[in-house]
Amino acid sequence: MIRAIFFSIFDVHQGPKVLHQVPADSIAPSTGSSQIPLFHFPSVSSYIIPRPEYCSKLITFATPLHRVLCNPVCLHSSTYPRNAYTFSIALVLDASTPFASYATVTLKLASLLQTLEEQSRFLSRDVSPPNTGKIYALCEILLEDLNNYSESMIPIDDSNTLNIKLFPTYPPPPPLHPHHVPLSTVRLESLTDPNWDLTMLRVLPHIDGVNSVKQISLLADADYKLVRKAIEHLLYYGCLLLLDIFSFGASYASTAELASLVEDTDIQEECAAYVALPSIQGNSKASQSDPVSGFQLVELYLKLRQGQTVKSFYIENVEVVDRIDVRRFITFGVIKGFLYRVHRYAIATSHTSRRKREHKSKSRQKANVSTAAELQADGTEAEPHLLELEKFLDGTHCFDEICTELMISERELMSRLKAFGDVQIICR
Amino acid sequence: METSKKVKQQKKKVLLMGKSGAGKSSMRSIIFSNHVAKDVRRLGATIDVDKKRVKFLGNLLLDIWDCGGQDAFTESYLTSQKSYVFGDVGVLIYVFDVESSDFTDGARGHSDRDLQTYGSIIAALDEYSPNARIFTLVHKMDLVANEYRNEVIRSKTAAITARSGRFARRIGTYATSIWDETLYRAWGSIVNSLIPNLDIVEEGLKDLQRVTEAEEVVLFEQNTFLTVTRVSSEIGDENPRGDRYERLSNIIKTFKNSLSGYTESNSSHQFDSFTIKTGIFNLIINRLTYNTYVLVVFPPGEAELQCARLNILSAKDEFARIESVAEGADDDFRNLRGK
Amino acid sequence: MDLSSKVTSELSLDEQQASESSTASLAESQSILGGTNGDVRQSLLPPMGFGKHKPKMLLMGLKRSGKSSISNVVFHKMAPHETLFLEATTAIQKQNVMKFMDFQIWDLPGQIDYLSSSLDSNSVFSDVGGIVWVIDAQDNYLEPISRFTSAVVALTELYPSIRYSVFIHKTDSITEDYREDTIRDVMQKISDELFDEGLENPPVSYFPTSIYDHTIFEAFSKVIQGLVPQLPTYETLLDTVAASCRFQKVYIFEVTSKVYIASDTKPSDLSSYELCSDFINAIMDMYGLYSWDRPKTSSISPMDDERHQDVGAQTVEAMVCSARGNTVYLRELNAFLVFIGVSKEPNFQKEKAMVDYNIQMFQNTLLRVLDRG
Repeated sequence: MIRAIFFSIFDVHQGPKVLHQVPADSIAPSTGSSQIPLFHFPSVSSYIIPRPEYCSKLITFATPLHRVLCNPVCLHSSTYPRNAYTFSIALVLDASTPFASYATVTLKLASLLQTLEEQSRFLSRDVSPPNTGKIYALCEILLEDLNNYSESMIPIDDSNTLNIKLFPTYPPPPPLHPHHVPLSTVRLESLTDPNWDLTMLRVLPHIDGVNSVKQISLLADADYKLVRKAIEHLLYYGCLLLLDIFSFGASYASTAELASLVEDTDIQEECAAYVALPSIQGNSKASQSDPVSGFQLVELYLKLRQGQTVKSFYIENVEVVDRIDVRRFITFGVIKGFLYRVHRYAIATSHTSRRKREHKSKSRQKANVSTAAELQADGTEAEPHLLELEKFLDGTHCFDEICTELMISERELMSRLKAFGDVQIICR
Repeated sequence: METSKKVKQQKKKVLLMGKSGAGKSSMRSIIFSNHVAKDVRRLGATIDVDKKRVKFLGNLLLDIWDCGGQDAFTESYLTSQKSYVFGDVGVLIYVFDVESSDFTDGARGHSDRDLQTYGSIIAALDEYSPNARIFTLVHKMDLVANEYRNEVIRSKTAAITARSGRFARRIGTYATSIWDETLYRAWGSIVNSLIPNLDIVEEGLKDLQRVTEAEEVVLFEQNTFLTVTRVSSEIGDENPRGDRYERLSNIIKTFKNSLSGYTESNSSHQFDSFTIKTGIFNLIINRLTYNTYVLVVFPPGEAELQCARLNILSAKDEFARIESVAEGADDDFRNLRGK
Repeated sequence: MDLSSKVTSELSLDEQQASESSTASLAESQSILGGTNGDVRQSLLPPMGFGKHKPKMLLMGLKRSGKSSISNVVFHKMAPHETLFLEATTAIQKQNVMKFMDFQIWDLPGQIDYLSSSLDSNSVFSDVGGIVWVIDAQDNYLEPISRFTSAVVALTELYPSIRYSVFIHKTDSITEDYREDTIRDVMQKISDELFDEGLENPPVSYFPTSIYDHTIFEAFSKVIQGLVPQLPTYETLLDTVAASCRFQKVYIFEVTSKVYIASDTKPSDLSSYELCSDFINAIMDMYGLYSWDRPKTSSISPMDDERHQDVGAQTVEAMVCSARGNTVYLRELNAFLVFIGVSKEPNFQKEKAMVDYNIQMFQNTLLRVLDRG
């Protein structure tokens, strides 16, 4: 919430001076006004109109109750009295307000005013009395618009328009990996228009909670780096959630959060609605009556545990699970935090790998009687695959990641690991 | 031995005040920063207080507080910053803009705001630094037509004195302009009033004047070329050009700037010697010590010129000693001279 | 202090050394100067006697272009900022500005139509050596350009020997970005217009000028040099001096206007010109302070006889040495002219006796040339 906006200049006779202020008398009360200003202007004027060395920099300072943001600008030209025109537009916030997004607004305002002044002496020519005129109107509209709509568009003259928006700043999104599966939380289609980024437009149709980032880039036929950028942008603005790759070979386990599901019937209902199978055969009986109760859902979640794949879970509970969408069931759990994915990591004991390779090369030496075709097959198939694999076997790469990077199935991965030699698999 | 004369480094706070645009920073930059008069129109306004430390003659440090004269600043000097600004002041230099509409005696509905401000500043100074010296400069005299100058100075001086309170008897008032040597006269006397141990230096100059048979010996500070002190013979005293010392400051300073522009060296050691030989007189300006130049004017002739040159050379050592002594224990030096 | 006795003994030694070194250089420098003297005899006789034939220089231009300011700053030592108060010139002003030769500058007021029949053009333009046309570069310069070209066209027919110099004036007030462009534009427009009139190689030269710096003096120097018939001789002489005394740059200055009438033929550089001109200023100013009439009585001393033997004791001589080994040397040639040399020789002072001698020779030769003129 902006408390006040004021415009001050360096008057060559009077010194730092508040020219326009919104609301009236909030900074420098006119004589006779009984209003108490937000702070004592003369004591802080050296920060609002500082020496030229400090100009063109964002200055923020706090008074006991308020924070002031300004970006003083000093323009040098022999056409000004005393060869310089110094002005500063300042925003006053409550001291406790986070001010990061207001800082960019201040910078933008200052640079716009500077441009206007350089183009047409917009500021120095405006000799209207305090709290009237174009600059005052600008301050007034800004204060209203930013406080009420967080944005403002003010046409200034034929060629200049002020477009200002308070952009909230978010923390940087978590690192995005190729095996992450984005799931949109908003209806992205409703937001887009043809002017959006081209990659973004190609990427969006493939974001469905099933495709991994890597897959999306292949499906959209777009460069992976661009796809990643696009998805990171969506992630930054909270339009996406990141999931893992769903497969029946994966295993999940419940977390302590599950307790909230037990108590909260609203979430149970939400879950039930989400996991319900779409009616394929028109008005089937199954879809009319509530197929799974909240209790059953909780029960199902509790049955997921480490070491058990979704496949075996499905087989065990087939009569209930058959009535729901398993993928949605798992996804709901992950989104709400009831479940976590138990990833598998592979770690190769270094001895093994080296011995293996030595053995390999030896065997190749021995085999120098064999045909060239055999040699080539050996070199192109077995050897590069294992070398490729080796860099993932340090215990920091989960199976999803390895599979995505190498573009192989989990089954293929397992067989390669076996070929590699002694590899420990860790689940966590 | 007067212990009161014992001097180490002396630090003096010099307040430079006056209405905005009166020319404070301009004159400061001409005297201390080697600006030339025509360049100062490019200066910007001073924001708040601009502090600059100037070393004068090695043992005198001038802390010049160039105080921006805008109303808002003046207001804060007299209120929130009062003790900070007016405490421990050695010299106040108040600059009046002679052309300003605010600098009138207040009669006939004219504004005397500048004098009122001056009055408040004098009162503040009286409170915090009652022993300060005050110099008032009536500046921009070049804008007053020649025939009115004396009258203007007379009336302004009276108006200033009337507002000077307890300081009234001790203030020095000078009419100045950056376009001529009046600026050097005013600043010469300001700085002169601050130099300690002037008598020792003068003794040395008298010796030099005697051996060179010079009609005049003048000592200048090396950076500002303000006259530190001078000695004249009986003939020299008859020189009709009474304003020659400040004229010299102005001439040499101008040439020094030109020379440093040519050699592109910004060091303070721009020239070693400057000689003029004519049929009427000889003139040498020579570096004397690190902080000073000496000007010697003596009778014409090549032989005289060479003698004087060598005499100045040997005087260098002695003055270097005077200077180091003045900086250190000067009692020892007095003992030395006594022997 | 008993400095004086010590000094006199050392001095005699010094003089001995000096005379030795100067005799060494005597033969060489004399022969060089003698050689040039021979050339002088042949080339120097102008077609007409210079004294009778006073060449005129006209300062022309539209009103308010800055003509009076220029002539006041250059020839009357007016401070540039004072010219703001000058009133408009309404009648032709003749000024004999150069004392050493008969140069006149006719400051023609801007309001007169020079080419109208009411003006007796023969009285104005006959024996004009050069015309300086001032164009205000910060104003609209199309009008003055066409006025100038039509004047050139009209005058070249009648007086083909006139040389024209265009001062593109008030360049100080143009921002640096546009200065070069403006200057080039003016030059281009003039030469285009003259070309259209059938003048392919008009005797026109261009100078960007401002009264606030040295460019105006530099420009006038070049203009006046163009009117000095003996210029090649002076230049040869100066080249010889510069070489034999190892000067970087040497000039002959006219003292009051600080216009130089000749320099050596090395490329001119504005910075040494500025230095020399400021040096003259400083010397003139100090001379003014100490050249008062001293009472004669007190100065009679045994030293007096010696003094009269001193060669050139009456001439003004000045020298400034900087800490970096730069030296500027000035010597009075006659009442109006001085010689100035800029040297970067660190040992200049040691060789000064030799320099003095060489300059003395130069001065003698130069004065002979002047007399002939």
